[in-house]
Amino acid sequence: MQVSRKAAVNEAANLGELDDLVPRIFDELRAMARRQLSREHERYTLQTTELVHEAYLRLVGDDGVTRRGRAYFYAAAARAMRQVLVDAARRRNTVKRGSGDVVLSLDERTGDVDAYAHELVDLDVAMEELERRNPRFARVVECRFFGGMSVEDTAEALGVSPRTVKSDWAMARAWLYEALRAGPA
Amino acid sequence: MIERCFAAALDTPPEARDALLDAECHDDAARADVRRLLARHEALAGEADDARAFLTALDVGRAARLLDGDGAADPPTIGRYEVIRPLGRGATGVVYLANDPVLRRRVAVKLLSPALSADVRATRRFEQEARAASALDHPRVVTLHEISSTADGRLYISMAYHKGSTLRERIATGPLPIEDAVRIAAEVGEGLAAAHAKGIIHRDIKPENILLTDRGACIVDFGIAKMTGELQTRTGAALGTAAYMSPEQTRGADVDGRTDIWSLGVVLYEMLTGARPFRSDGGDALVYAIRHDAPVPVERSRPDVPAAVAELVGRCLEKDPVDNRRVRRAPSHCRAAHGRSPSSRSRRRASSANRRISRRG
Repeated sequence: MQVSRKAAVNEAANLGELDDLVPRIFDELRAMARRQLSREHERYTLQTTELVHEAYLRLVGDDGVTRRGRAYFYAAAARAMRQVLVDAARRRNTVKRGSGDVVLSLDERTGDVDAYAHELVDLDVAMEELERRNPRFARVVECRFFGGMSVEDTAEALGVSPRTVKSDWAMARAWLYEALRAGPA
Repeated sequence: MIERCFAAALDTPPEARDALLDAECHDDAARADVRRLLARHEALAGEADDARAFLTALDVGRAARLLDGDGAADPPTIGRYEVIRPLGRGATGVVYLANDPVLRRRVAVKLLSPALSADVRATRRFEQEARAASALDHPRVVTLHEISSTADGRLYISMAYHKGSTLRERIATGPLPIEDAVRIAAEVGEGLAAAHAKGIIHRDIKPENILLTDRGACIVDFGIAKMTGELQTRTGAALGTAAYMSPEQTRGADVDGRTDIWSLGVVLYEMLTGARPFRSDGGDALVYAIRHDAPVPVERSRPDVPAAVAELVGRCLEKDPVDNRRVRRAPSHCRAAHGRSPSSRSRRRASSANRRISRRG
């Protein structure tokens, strides 16, 4: 029911309380991403933030939801997005990488979906390591990268200051770059 | 905690950071870590494009393509065929091993992705191409049996099933022996010659589309590339890697058989060295390299490649097809380059003494 869902979203004190919403978001995001592909667009103009916002409107609706509630939903959607993509990427990785393959940047538009799938799995593994060192860092990366959330929304969702989010994001990104590109220090 | 040191340092102007770190961070190792991460952070905000682009935004387009056709469980039947198991997944769809209960034989069935199946214009084009491709009856080309669609509108193609692996899987374990590489190239060249003689261009020759069976190399996916090419043009999204595209293909120009020969040259290069001739981080840089850069010479990565073979690669990778410098008859050139018949079974027993390079024309 829409009303109780709004209440749940408003009252979620931490992300764990929205876990039951994550599978619904998961399905919605997948369906939306697929619909994207069958639209005849000249270019992909939809950003992650718009995708997540659309899911939000479909699953919760805007009236009667606090800013914090909306931020919680976005963070849950970011986690769902990560799950959706990493699951699909793992299934896709049936072909082993050859030697001499160039590692592609995670948002380069080369169209090589298989390389993208490998990159996502590598990122997921690195994020799990990051989570062990500092769970909040992993949440920040989820929100900022997978969810396309602003610094303010991320801060709202995680219950920290925007300054903390910026610093966490800077450090997490530097750490992940080393883990994914530069090899062990 | 190094997070606090990092956060504090971030707020401090660079010239004052050392002093701050000395004060805040008592552990030598931790201080070194923070310094290193700070430097990395500065670099990520700096000049290098690929560094700056790192982890900035999820590519929704590619994410959507990753999801396309995924997730739905493998169907138990496709048309009349009974699905046994998936053989592989690609950008255009999934290939399954299936049983044909009517003709009582195993077949391979390619189920096209929902996006491709839904694209009506592409579908009509595809049928045209598939019709032409099915007229190809050659040992080096995987025979097409049927093209149809499922009840829920997914296009599929059934074709002969050949046990074996793709060239991609073979290359993944390392460069091939020179004889094998040249033989495979010659066999693919034979298949291409048969297709080109009927006016059919493949357009997407790459290791994923070359099967290695007990009867030698076999080309798959004739007829698909043109259809997906249409979809690419209209949506502005590249569905596959540009690494095997010829210069004229990257320009969207009309292509003919010579474009397949270029791609074959890239494949031969990759079989010999394990890497592709034009390397870059992809996208525009790769297209530029294909159009303008000379490839890293084969001999540099693999000194034992005979001169004639290296020359063959070079001639396949002539950038301008118009001058006719690009190899026209790949099989005979491969034969000449390596002094042996490509389809002869005696190659298996041939010793290395046979490795004379003689031009027999």
